[in-house]
This record gives sequence, structure tokens and C-alpha cells, in this order.
Amino acid sequence: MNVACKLTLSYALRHPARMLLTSLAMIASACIVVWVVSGYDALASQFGRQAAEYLGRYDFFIVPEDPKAPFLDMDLVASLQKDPDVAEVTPVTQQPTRVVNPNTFPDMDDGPGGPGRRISPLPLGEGPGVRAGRGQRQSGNVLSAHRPHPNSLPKGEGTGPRRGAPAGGRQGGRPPLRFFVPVSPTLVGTDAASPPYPMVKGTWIDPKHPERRGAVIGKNAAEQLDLKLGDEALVIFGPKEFQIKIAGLIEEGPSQMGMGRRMRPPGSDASRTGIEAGPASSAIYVPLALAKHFTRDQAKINLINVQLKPEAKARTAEFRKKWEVQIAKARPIASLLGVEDIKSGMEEGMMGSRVKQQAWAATGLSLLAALFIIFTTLSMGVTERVRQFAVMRAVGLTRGQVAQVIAAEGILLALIGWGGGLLAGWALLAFSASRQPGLFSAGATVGLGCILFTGLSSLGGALAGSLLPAWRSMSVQPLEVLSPHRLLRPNCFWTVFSGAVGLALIAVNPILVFVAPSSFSLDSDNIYYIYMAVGCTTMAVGFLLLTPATIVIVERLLGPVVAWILRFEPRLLRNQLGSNLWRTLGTTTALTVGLGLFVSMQIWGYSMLEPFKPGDWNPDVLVSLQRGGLPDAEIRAVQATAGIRAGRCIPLAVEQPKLASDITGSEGRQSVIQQNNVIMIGLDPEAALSGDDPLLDVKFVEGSAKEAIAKLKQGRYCIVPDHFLRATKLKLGDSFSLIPPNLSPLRAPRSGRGEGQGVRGASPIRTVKYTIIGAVKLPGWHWMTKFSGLRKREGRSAAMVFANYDDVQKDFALRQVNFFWMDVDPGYGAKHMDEAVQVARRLKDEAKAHRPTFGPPTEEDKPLDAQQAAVLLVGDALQKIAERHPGEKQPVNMQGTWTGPAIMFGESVRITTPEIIFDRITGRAGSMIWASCTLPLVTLLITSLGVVNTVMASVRARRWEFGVLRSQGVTRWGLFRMILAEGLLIGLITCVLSLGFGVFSGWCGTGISQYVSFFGGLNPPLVIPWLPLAFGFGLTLLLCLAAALYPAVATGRTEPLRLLQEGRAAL
Amino acid sequence: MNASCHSASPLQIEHLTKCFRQGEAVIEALRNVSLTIRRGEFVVVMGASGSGKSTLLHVMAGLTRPDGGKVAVDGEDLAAMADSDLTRFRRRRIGLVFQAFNLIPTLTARDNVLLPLLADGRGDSAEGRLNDLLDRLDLRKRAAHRPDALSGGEQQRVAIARALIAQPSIVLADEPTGSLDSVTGQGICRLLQEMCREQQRTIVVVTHEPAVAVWGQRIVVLKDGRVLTEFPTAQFADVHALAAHYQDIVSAP
Ligand SMILES: Nc1ncnc2c1ncn2[C@@H]1O[C@H](COP(=O)(O)OP(=O)(O)OP(=O)(O)O)[C@@H](O)[C@H]1O
Ligand SMILES: [Mg+2]
Repeated sequence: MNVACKLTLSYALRHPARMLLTSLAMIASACIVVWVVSGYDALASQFGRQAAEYLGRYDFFIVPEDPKAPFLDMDLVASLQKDPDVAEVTPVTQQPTRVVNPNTFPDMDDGPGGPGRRISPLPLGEGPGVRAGRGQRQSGNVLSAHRPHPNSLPKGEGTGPRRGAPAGGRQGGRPPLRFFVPVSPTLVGTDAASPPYPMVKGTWIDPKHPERRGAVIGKNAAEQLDLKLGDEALVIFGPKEFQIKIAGLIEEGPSQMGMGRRMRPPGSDASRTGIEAGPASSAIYVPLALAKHFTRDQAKINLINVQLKPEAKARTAEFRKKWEVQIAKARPIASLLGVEDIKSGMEEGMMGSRVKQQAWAATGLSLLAALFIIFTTLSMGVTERVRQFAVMRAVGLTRGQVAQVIAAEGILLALIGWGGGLLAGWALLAFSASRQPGLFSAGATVGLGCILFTGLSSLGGALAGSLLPAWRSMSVQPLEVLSPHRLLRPNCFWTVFSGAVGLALIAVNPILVFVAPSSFSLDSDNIYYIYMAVGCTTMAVGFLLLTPATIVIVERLLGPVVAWILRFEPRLLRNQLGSNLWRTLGTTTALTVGLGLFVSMQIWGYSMLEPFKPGDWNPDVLVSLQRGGLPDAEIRAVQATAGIRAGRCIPLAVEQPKLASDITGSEGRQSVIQQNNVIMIGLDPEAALSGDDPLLDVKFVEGSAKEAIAKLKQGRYCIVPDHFLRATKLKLGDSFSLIPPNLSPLRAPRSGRGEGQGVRGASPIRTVKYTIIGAVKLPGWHWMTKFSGLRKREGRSAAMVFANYDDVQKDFALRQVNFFWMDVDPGYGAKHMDEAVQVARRLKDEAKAHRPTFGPPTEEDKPLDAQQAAVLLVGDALQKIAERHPGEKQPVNMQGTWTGPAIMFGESVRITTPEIIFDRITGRAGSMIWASCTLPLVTLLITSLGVVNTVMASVRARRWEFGVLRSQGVTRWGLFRMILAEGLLIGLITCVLSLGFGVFSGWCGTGISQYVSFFGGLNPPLVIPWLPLAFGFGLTLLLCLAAALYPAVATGRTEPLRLLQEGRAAL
Repeated sequence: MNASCHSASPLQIEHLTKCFRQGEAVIEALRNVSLTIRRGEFVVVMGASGSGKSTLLHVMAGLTRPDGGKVAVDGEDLAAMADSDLTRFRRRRIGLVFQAFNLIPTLTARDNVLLPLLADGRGDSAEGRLNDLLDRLDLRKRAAHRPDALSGGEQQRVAIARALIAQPSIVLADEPTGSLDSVTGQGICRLLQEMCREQQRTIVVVTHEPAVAVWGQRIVVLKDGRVLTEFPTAQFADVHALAAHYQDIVSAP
């Protein structure tokens, strides 16, 4: 056997406990990789099947590639038909539409109101996106579900309808009012002789008899609409309605969750449609002629389905080669999609997904953990064996052979970690799959990729971790045999020097994030990439370099404190950690990987939350009337309601129009949101903004309240939030145009790519123009608009804009009053507390029968405060006024109907208060932040195994020393406390380092968020959430104490003589 | 020192046995050893390697417990003491010097000297005594250095200072000169002897060097864990005579 292996094995066997612990830590860290990567594999392995399902019985789709000409050349159909391999070529037209069941009286508030529902209360089909719902797994790219873009798949909603409650209405008793709740499947005109997906019920459409108006609908769409076989339904296209008869129900193709923009093949430009133009998964099929009739011949062919002959199925590759070029040559340009394209599209779509990111993060973290675990273990080995290595060198081993011993040890540990991790991970997967069968629907397997990933992280970590120890072992001189102890005391100069370099490197990131962009006008994408590549790296390296100094300083400062707490002589603890710097460095860094990430996530999360918290500028109460609305004559009645502070109640004219041009740059951004619209709020400027204590207490960043009031009254002026100016680069005095939504329903250009289907230019779009006269700070406006119903048309918005009441009312043709802002009088609430409690009871009872949740004031264990009481009483009074004016449902985004974050008084009155929103978002965000902290915490747990190891090694290396101490009269209890103190100090150093790292990276994280459009304009302050951090620190200290416990007890129990003798032998 | 100390003999060993078990094998390191040492006496324990000298010293220091027999220091039976009492006892009554690697590498010479007092929580109570000791041992200038910056002789002087700082009644030294050159070794021995005379301390030194042994008043020779013989040193004119006598004893069958 090789000398190195022999020595390695003998050493490993000599210290079984250390081997065991290190192996355990390695196994655990590899196990994380197995777990996360397998989860990812399990998901990805479904893609093949899904892609095949998506194709249905077809082999290829041909889709238009040019968004400006979203239709196909009919010559292609003809030439394809001539190909002898082709069995069927079906030209298809896909058009956005709305379908309603005329017999259903839909009730929006029935059911759980989950995000998955697809009912759109909007007359436009421009409905509320489901994208912000909790059902979403995608972080980006998920576009509005109901955008009736002729080419787009209904992306990002697939799971929605299936998961959501059926939207069937209550039928009994009520008159068939024509309150349509349109569902928006895509109208598919096809003359295919057989269905693309398996039929569930009924028969396929008969292309030869369009006059029968038979249609086949996707089963989920049918379920939502409560349509059954033989039912009549209405298809609404533009101003016209057409009757159809449901002849059959069909399976729906799988939804293409991940098929976002990123699905496009690399190198394609941003406007390319790519796979997004595939068949709709939620569809209503009619004969082609009927579709043309509905759309008055506007419908062009925008999809060709190709099925090959059975004997040609094996030659799909050839077919594709043959046709690819030809299809690309067609005008307008088209592209051919086969099963592989769709699959790789899905995979690409997942590249940026959270799952993928998690897989990477887990691998990265466990690689780091493995690195530090191995580094610490090997470093300890070297320190312990300096004399041994010296002897080896003295008897003639080369430097290389000595280094081999260390490397062999590292590789041995890595192999154990790899094998053990795979086994443990596999067992864990099998266990959780048996406990929770739904977890991995396609079956979790430990695939090849997973095996490789795990090996990569173990071996990579081992190699990186053994570099330094191996180098150190090589530098051991034969003469060191004679020196009593090779002490690795911190070299003062190097500690200070590396600390200084560390500080300098740490400073790079803040400069990059906060200083550089404004001084060098970098564009936001570049800033982000520089931040990722340079900023994060320098920061990590900087903290690593700062660690030695931190160890020395913390030990100096806190060592005495710890000694005092544990009541022993501080001098006995002095320099213990600093003297064994490498070991301490490895351990604290390993722990800091976990804890530091935890801290930075907490800080980042809570800092990012801050701007979402509704600010003080909000009036006490925002009232939205969701049905009907009040005539102007009733405004006074509302203002006179008891409980409202006199003169502090104003009506609002609210609309959510689109921006006429893309001034926010939302089209080019890869973002969850498309900030292509604003929320216009018309109000009486005098009543809202004047006085010492204005109702709308906003702070002007540019312009002044006085000036703004005067100008607003003149008309067509507006006040915008400060970040809107930054995002659009507009200045005071500039103006922007809006498109009133109700006036030209189908002609309004859609967001993002695709400007309708060639309708642009058919008639000029009417726009209205507003000039900016002031900019204000509006912290938290996003959330105040989210659940309150202020977002009438879209899930997200670029800004909340204030203008004159009359302007907004006129420009957007608002007929009734649907919104009020008001302050309530807590004195009134206090005086009428009993009545308020009655109201709260009533609401709670109603909620039981009718609504799932309700705002905080009804919690019976929590007494109402005066303010809440006033809110309830005002709401109750307003309900009575509102019920005098029943009417149609008003358009509102989906979240604006959720019952949790607002209080509903009856069917119409919805009250939102900053308080409710605050509770809601802090609760929600808190749990999200904690969820993202799981991985760091697990890493912390694993690396704490390393602490046991370090303390054990430290104790073992000092057995002789402890023997001497015991012989000089230190009690075993004293020894025990000393060892505990060491663990505690390691924990403390980790906490200090992590806090530093967390604060800096969290701070820079909030800074960089400015350049990622989702968070654009939030300017979050730095918030340090001490409570969660205290948890993390406490956990770390506990872990470190626990880690020191065993070595402490074991050493304390050992007889002094044995310590002396073993210590001597250990040298 | 209190009265009981003076009345009792500082070290009384009766029928001491100590075995080491290693797997099946049992090594009898000490067999029925009895020894009485008077106050202020300088006793040297000699013997071949493996004869049990160190073991005897360890048992006397209470570092390990005997399997049989009795060890009484200042009249107190070590076997009857709990570990904590034993430790405290050792801290106050016994000073220990080892052959090498005696010092805590992370502490300065000064703190190493103070170690028994630090362990006792009275680290600052002995400034005067500490400075005296450092002066006596010529360590004043090296007080702030750590052991790895000290020579072997200096380290051993630090160890002696440490053994004396708590004013123990007995100083036990295991081959204190084992890793030193003969001149330095002689210096150490002289120091030990002087300390012993001045402060009336009892000293037991383990060695196999006759040059060290001559400094003692009485020599106890161990062989295979038994006391082979004991004799006073006064009878020998010089080291060579003593060495010759010792040779005769140990090489006798
Ligand atoms: N911990 C132990 N386990 C087993 N045997 C031991 C142990 N300590 C000492 N021995 C044995 O006890 C016997 C006496 O050992 P001791 O160290 O007392 O000898 P010594 O006279 O000091 O020798 P030297 O002059 O070489 O130091 C030896 O045979 C030794 O092997
Ligand atoms: Mg010995």
C-alpha cells in the first residue's frame, strides 16, 4: 500500500470519532444536494411527457414567428399536404374570446376566492392576472392569463383552474340576470376531422356543418362555466354575441407553466414569439368557417398542426430537416415546433425558475459547507501532526508524499460524503415519497445528474478544502521534531493587513451599488451583472479576509465576558482561538456561510418589506363600492355619516388606464410585472391636500402642495410618486398620455408584445394627456391598491397618480362614485363601542355563512379599539347608503375581491385600512422570508457538526495542556467550563461575522433591487429585524454550546494522568 | 502551614500498588512500595527505565489513584479525597515539574507561573512573591514571553517557579533536567536545593542521572516497581563514587 494511504487510514482509525463526525457532516451536506436536485429532476422529467401531451396526436406545430404578422402563409399548408410522409395538415385559427354561460348567475364571492380562479369580472377579458396568486411557482415571465393575444398560450395559469374551485354559480331562485362572468378560453377554428386531445364526453365538431353551431370545449373551462353537454353558450367577440351549442368536452393540453419569454431559443431577439404561439390549452373548438363568421373574417390562420403517417413517425428528424428551412423561408416567417423544441423550451423556461435557482443554491451552499468542513478537519490534522510530519520528513519522505497524506484524507472524506450522501438522500426521498405521495408526482429518482452534482460538491469541496492544509503540511521542516509545539499564533502584521484588505474589498460592493450607477450612468442590467459578478465576490472574499482580525478582536473583547459568565479565570481562555487560527477560521467561516445567509436574507427581506408597508400618508379608511355606485347626490350623505371626521371625507374618481407609450420601459424587462398602466385617482385637490393636516398627508419631493392644488384645479395636471419620475425619466412639467379603457375595448393596444391583431391603425386610439406638476413620496401604495379594489383592470401598476376629480371623471367616463377616502373619529367609536361590537358580531356571523375570513377587528379575544370601532360603524352606515343604489358589479382585479385583506359590509362596501394591510403583509412576508431561510438554517445545522469536530480537535491537541492544568489544580468542572467557553466564543465570533456580512449584503441587496424592475422605485431603508436575528444567533450559540458539550464532558471526566500521557502520545 | 502539617510527616506511603491494564496484559508498575519522607528533605528516586519512578510520582501527586495501599500528604489520605478536593489539594500543597513540555504554550511565562493561583482564582494575590521568584530564577526579562520563545532551561525555570508559587509543602519533579544540558541541569538542581533549604520545602526528584542525584539527601532506588534499597548521599565523596555505587546496586542480580 502507498505510504500516504497507509498513514491516512491509520490516522482515520486512530480517531474514529472525528472520522465519524466529519463523515456525517459531509454526508449531510451531500444529502441536501440529492434532495434538491432530485426534486428538480423529478420536475424536469415530466417535461418529456408533458411536451408529448401538449402535441396531442400531432407531431409538429407550425407557428408564426413574426409578432408583426401573427399569421401563416397558406401556401405552406398546400405544400405540406403534398409531402408523402404527411397524414394530416390542419390549419387553425386561434382567437381570444369570451365565453359565458347565460344561465348562470355567478357569485364572485362564493368559494374560496383563491388565486386560481379564472373568472374575470371585467367586460374586456383583460381580467385580473392570476400571476400574483400563491399558486404560482414561477417567479418571472408569467404574463396575464387572460390577455387575449391571439398567439399567446394562456401561460402561467394552467394549474389555476384545476386547483381552483369550480366557478359554478348558484342557480336556484335567482333570475337569470345577465351578469356575465366571462371565462376566456381561446376560440379555436379548425376543420380537423378528429380532436387534438382525447374527448371526455360527446362528439367532436363537424367541420362540414358549421351552421349547426356545434362546439367542443375544454373540460376545465366547461367546469368553470358550469356548461354541460348540450348546453347553449355565448361567444362574445367584440360587440357581438354568438350562440353555440356544446357538442363535446375535451381534455385540455397541459399548461405551459414554464413557457415564458425565456423559452425562446438563445440568441433570439426579444420580440420573437417562439413557442408562445403554440396551441391554447384552454380552448373552445368550432369549425373554421364558424370562427371566421364570428370574427367577421378577421381570423387568419395562425397555427398549422401536422401529423405524420404512422410509418413516417420514426423519421421525424428527417422531416424536420426537410421542412425547417422551407418553413423559415415562408412569408410571414414561421417556425416548426416538435416535441424536442417544446421540451427544451420548458426546460429553458425552468432555467430561471425558483426550482432551478434552489438547486444551484443548494449545491453551492453544500459545496461551501463541504469545503469548510474538510478544510477545518484537515487543518486540525496538520496542526496536530506537525511533529509527526517533521519525523516523516526527517526519515526521508518528500514534501509531495506528506501533502499526499492530507490530500488522501480529503478525498477519502469526500468519497464517504458522496456515497453516504447519495444513500442518505435516496433514503430520505423514498421516505418522504412514502409519507407524502403527491410530493413527487413523477417519482423521485436519484438520477445521473444528481449523482454528478453531489460528487461535484463533495469532491470539489474536498479539493479546495485540502489545498491550504496540504501546503502547510509541506512546509513542515524536519527540524520541527525538536521544537515543543508549533504554535500558529496570529501574526499581528498579517492579521491587520488582511483585515485592512478585507475592509477595502467589502467596501467595493456598496460603492458599486450605491455610488457607481449614478456617477457612471450604467444601465440597470449591467449594474445587476456587475453586482453579481464583482460585488458579491469581493464582499465574500473581504469578509473571509476580515475573519482573522475578527477572531482576535472578539476573543480579546468577549473572552473575558464569557470567562466571567462561566466564572473562571479569563487568562486561561486567552488566545486559545487566536492561537489556533486556521482551525478557528475554518469553523467560523463554515458557520458563517449558514448564519450569514440567514441574517442577510432576514435583513434583505424585512428591508424590502418596509416600502410596502402602508405609509402615514394614507387616510384612515379607503372605501370602495364594488356593486353599482353612488350618484353624485349621495356624496353629501356619505360625508355626513356619523363617525367620519368633519370635512375629512372625499369622493375619488378611479380608473386604471394603460400608458399610451412604454415610458416605464416595462416591455424590455424580464419582470413579473408589466408596469404599463397607472392608477388614476381623481380628487378635490383643495379638500385632499390643503391645510396643516391634510387628509392626504403626502410629502412633496418636487413641487409643493400649494402650487399643485392651484394647477390641479386648472385641469389635466397630476401628481405622481417620486419613483415614477425616476423610472420614466420624466420631469415636472412633462406630460404623458393614457388610454381610457372603456372607450375602445378591443382596440386598446395590449401590453407587451403584440399590438392586437393588426387592428392598430384601423381607428386612431383616443388618449388623454396629463402634465406632471408634483412628485410625492407614497410608501406602500402598492399594497394599498392591491386588495382595496383600486386596481380595476390589471394586477399591477406603475404608479398611483393624483389628478383633479372632474378631469378623471370626464376622461374615463365614470358615471357613479365608487371610492371614498376618509378619516374616522375614534371618539365616536369609543362612545358607541357596544354598537360596534354588534357590527363586528354580525360581520363575523355573515363571514361564517358566506365568507371565509375577515379583518382583525372581529377577533373576539382581541377587543376592538376606538379606531376600529369607528371604522366598523362607518362601514355599517355606508352599507345602508350603498344598498339604496344596487347595480352591476364593478371591474376589479382578483385580489380586490379577496376577503382577508379588507372588510366587506354586505355585497358592495369594501373597506381597506392601512392597519389591516399592514397586518396582512407583515404576516405573509414574514412566512415567505422564513421559508427562504430554510436552506441557510440547514447549512448552519450541518456545519455545526464541524464545530464538534473543531472543539474536539482543539481539546485533543491540548490534552497534555489540560493534563498540566489539572495537575496544577484546575478542577474538572473548571476544565469543562473552559471548553464550553471555547465553543461559545466560536459561536460569538460567528454571530459577529454573520451580522456584519448580513447587514452589508442585505443592504447592498436592497440597493440592487432598485435596478430590478419588480422592486423599482421602492428605495427601501435598511431594517434590521432583531427578533428573527436573535433567534438565529441564539440557535448558533446553542449549537456551539451543544457541540462543545461532549468534548467538555469527556475531557472533564478523564483522569489527569491520562490527559498527560495521551497528550504526550498525541504529539 | 498549620499545626497538623508540622506534626504529620509531609509524605507517607504505605504498601502502594499500581497496575496498568492493557487489554489482557496487566502491568504492575508499583508493587508494595512504602516510603516516608521527612519535612524539608530532598529525596531522589532512581531506577532503570520502566522501573516505576514516574508512576510513583504521579500517585504521590494525586494525578492517578493507586490500586492498593495508602498515600498521605501532610497527614491527609489522598485516596479518601473526592476529585475536586484532590485537585484543590494539589493546587495548594503540591508543586509539579515535568521533564519537558511543561508549559501552556498559549500563556506567557508570567501567566504560566501564576497558573496554580489562577486556577484558584487568586491570580493577583501574589505579585510580590511572583516578582521575587522571577528575580531568583532570573526570569524577570522573559516574563512576557511565551514558552516557544524560551530556551529549555528557561522553560524549566518557569516550571519550577510555577511549582513554588503556591508555596506547596512538597515539590515533585520528574526528570526536571532530562532534556537539558549538564550545566543547565546543574543550575536547575542548585535552584531546587536552595529553594528547599530556604523555604523548608520537601522535594522529591525522579532521575536516573547520578549528577542530579548527588544534590539530594537520600536516594531511593526502584526496580520492577519495588523499592530495591535506599541510602543517604552524604557518604559519597563525589558524583563518580555515587554513580559507581548505583551501578553496583542496579546491576546486581
Ligand atoms: N498508562 C499506562 N498504561 C500502561 N502501562 C503503563 C502506563 N504508564 C506506565 N506504564 C508502565 O508502567 C511501568 C512503569 O512506568 P514509569 O513511567 O513509571 O517508568 P519510569 O521508571 O518512569 O521509566 P523512565 O525512566 O523511562 O521514565 C512501565 O513498564 C510502563 O510501561
Ligand atoms: Mg519516567
